[in-house]
Amino acid sequence: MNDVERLFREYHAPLVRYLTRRLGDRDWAEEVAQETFVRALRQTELTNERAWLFAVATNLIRDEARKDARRRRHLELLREEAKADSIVEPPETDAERAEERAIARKAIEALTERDREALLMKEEGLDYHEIAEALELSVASVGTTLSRARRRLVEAYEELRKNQDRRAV
Amino acid sequence: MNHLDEGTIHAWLDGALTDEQSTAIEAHIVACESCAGMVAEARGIMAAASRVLRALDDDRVNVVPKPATPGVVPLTQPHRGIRRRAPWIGAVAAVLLAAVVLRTSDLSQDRAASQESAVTSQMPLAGSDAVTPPPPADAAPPAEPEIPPAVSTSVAANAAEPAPQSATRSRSAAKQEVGRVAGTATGPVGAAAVGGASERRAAATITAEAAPSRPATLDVIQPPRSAELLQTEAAKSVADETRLRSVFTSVTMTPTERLAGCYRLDPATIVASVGAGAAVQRAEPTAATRGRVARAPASAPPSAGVAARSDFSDARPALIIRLDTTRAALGLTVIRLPGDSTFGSWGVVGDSARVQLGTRGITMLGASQKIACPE
Repeated sequence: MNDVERLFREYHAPLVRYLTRRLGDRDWAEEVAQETFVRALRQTELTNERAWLFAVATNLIRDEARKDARRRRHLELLREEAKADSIVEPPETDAERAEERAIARKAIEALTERDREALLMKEEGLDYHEIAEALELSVASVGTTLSRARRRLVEAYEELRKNQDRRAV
Repeated sequence: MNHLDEGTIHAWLDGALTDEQSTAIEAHIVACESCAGMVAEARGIMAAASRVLRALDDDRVNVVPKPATPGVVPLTQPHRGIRRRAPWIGAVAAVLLAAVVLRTSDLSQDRAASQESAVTSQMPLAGSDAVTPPPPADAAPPAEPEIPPAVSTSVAANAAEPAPQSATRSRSAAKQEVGRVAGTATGPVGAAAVGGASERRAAATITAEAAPSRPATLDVIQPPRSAELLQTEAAKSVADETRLRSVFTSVTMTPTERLAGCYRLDPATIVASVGAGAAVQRAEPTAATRGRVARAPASAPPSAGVAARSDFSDARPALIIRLDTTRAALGLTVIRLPGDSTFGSWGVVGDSARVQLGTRGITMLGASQKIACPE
């Protein structure tokens, strides 16, 4: 499609953020996003482009998740190493942020896959119809899915936070 | 209208309902206290969920690596960061030792005489150097092993080492060694061996003693009193600043480029970490103390030695410390020198511990062995 540039401009950032939140790894997210746009290129027509992009990206993640998890973990480690080498942050801020991130990561992982994806898509501005389309849900169930996902996320987070603070004392 | 279910409330708050549905809900909420309460709760949950999701963002992503100017690494509220132990610290349980040895000659003389002390080394800096901004680090590429593998570490309370008499001898030997290691002729470098009997009370620093066949152990020294004057964090007050300036010229340093590289630490020998001037005490490898970093003595100012707080109870066998002259590390503490120049920082990431040093270098590390940096 000729429109790919516009598509990229418009959706690359939210898609990468969605994927990063979902995967916990920016580089990996970029890769998946790229692959998603490559696939978009091959499409002659997209009726709901945002829903389509998020659906494809989500499916790519699921596919990949089934592949060689071990290899990926290894790569992630290497990537972390590389990142650690190249970043500058105020030390304490980093520590706290890392802690927050770790807890948030655990909390999001506590959700079911569908809840997680719906929630992350919503955060990227997809509306209920788009989420329904991307995840093959009924529109009517999106509200329930999101409310459940949000509540669980917050509860999981608070629980983890509490445990963390208890340990830190 | 029936009471609202949570999903409907979220859908309404998300603006996903038709006008007609929304109107009905608004009317209901006005009349129904419990549903109004649920709406309020839902709003809170939505906001909280968004907050949690934002915490997932890797906001380091766009942080541009700083050019190698160690002097400008931002440091804010170092104490908080250090005192509040981050989970990954405990998890990786790594500790880095970065000892800045301060010494005024009288102090060290006394100490050497008293046997209580173990090591001090010095490499006096010109006073004017003290405030000279460090050169760009890329001007000083990390030097690879001019330091022989076993040299980088301390000597320590080696029971076999007779203290008084050998102190002088080993001082001298160590002096040469350190001088060689440092590759510098900028000043005398002294190192004293440890009085075995007082090992318990000693604090550590590194001396260099080439003993390839012997595992590195820790040095034990009595921290110079003036060490209190150096603080791990930036001096915020003028008074602190002044004090730092007054002692800076006696900070012992080894050129960083000579130290750059990777060091393997044997966790069993790790005793403490030091911020600048923080006292280091030997943690005996007992069940009670192993894995716990020695704390600064009570006499030290509260802000000194906070870097000594860490925990490496599950430290792994191969703890690698990377001394990196060119990048700021994910340090937990930044050792600040007078002015704004960042002296160094250290911290741990994953299984690796990293140290970033100002180009001025530091006197460093506990029991470690220089190795080729892992890929």
